[in-house]
Amino acid sequence: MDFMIKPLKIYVRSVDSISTIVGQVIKYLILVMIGVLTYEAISRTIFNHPDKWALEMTEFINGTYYLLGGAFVLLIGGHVRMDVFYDKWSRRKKAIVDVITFVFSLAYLTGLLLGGISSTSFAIKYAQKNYSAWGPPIAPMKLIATVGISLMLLQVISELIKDITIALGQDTSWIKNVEENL
Amino acid sequence: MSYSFIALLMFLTMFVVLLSGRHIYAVIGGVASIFAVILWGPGGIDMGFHSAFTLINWYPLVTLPIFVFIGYLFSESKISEDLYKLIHILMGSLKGGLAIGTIILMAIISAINGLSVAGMSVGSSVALPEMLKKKYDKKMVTGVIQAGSSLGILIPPSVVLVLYGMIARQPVGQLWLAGVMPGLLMATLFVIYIVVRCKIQPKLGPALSREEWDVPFKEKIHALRGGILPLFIILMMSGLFFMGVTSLVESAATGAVATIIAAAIKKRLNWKVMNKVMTQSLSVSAMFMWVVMSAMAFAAIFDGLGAVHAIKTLFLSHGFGPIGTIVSMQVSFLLLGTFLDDTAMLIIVAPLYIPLVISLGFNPIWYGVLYTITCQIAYLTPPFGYNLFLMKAMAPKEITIGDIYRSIVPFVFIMAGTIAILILFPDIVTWLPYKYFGN
Repeated sequence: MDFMIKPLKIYVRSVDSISTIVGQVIKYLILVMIGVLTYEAISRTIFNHPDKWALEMTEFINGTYYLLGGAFVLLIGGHVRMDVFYDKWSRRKKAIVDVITFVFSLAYLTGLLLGGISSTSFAIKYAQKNYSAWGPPIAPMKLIATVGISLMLLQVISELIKDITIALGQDTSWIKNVEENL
Repeated sequence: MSYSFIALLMFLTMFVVLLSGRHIYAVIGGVASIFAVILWGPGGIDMGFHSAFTLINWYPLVTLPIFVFIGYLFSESKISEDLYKLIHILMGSLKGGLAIGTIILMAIISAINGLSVAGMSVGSSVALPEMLKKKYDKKMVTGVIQAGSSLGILIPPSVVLVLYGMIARQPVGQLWLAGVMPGLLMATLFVIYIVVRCKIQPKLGPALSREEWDVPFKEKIHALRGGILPLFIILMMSGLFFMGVTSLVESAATGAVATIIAAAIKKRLNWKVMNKVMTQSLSVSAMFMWVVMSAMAFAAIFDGLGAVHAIKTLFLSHGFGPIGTIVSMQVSFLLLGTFLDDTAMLIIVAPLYIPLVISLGFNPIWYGVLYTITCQIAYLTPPFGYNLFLMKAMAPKEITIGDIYRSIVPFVFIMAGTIAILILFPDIVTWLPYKYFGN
């Protein structure tokens, strides 16, 4: 068994650190959004010089913000659950149920990923532009979305491995408690 | 299999799986993906991503993370403590004065915040200990804080109304203005209730002794300064927006800048606070957006199935008139709200109910306000109100969950009464946006 467990541990550690690093960088985008919009507000109202890119740029930053941030938020337990019963269960029971219901996360994220890949390759192939006044190429945003979804999928699998470890009653001391580090 | 049966099956599957405690975005999105492939084969796979991408291009959504950021930074900056001191002096002489003051404080905070969570944390850290110290009845105290904080999603800015605007395809500016009068009406009804109740039972909210509120003139002037920073933020945010200077999205940014400046003036703008606020903002925003993203996919399938039409026929063919339909919708919404997580409910119910309301010929702006108040009530109703648990977590130990359950009863009746008033007199909702934007 041990030869299998070690790579899994390495997987969990690396995915968790990637998500953390991405999340720690991504969280600053809120300030970037505020900055871009404030610049636009001043430039438009005071200098009467509207920029057609500002709002759309902010939309893309916002998309990047929550799509790339999703995995980190999953890691720190930020995604909401309906915890009416869940909250009352033991750690092990929670893990067992999570292993069973993993299929829903997998179904959604796989669907998103397949859709993302086909949509991104279409956008690259036909140099698709966004339907707007500014009309920027849309492929970069689609690519970022697809990367965010992939990271989310990797993180969901990392959570699954942790849940299986807990469900089997194995040693869990190697699982880092991320929330404590924040 | 008929389409309405499939729609029902989807809804039930989602409901059952939600009970397992799997992340809400995953349940909604997972059920949507599975049904899409069953219904439309491989062609259904792209649907989830397509919905997600539509969401990115919907500009009012940019305000969501910014309002979350403003809310957290505002409660970290401790501006509300000064404000409460001011209210202390102004209201102290009245029976129940601190409770009335708390409602006013919450209404002001609501004009800065888009969610009710910030109001709760300010209420329980600032107003709660103070009222308990002054021998206020504990049920009065927790009831007031919870009811007051729920104003956050009705008085602009409101994140709930932004989400509603997205699903109902209505202008957010009009929705925000529509929330103003009902929000003030509800706050007034709360105040009237407190005044009457404390008149009958003075021990629920004793007046402060004279020396506590009759402070020297110099101190009064000093306390007045506590009102300046909140006023500054409101002016920079909603003020500029409603004067037509900034757009909806820009107003969120100017509000954020104002809040950052206010925090700096209060000397609360340090690395530790900013780091905490940014992490909280990312966590809450991403959580919201992933749920909305999956709900969009779910709604797209419902659209494809013509589920709304089926439900409408069901209601109307069983002798419910349009008003009867609205009332039974609100009731079912509340029943769902007692079992479902409120975030999920807000987003699950919307794609089902909003098109129904519009197709029945009701004003979607008016319904937006009704919908928001129903969400407020759902936040507060046991056994699974979000604010109830938050209150329990924040309140001192001597307040039991039973106290908290009982404390909100009168306020829930007032809120339900407000809905009834708004159904009878829809002009209360539509007057301000129509006056401002024209018909």
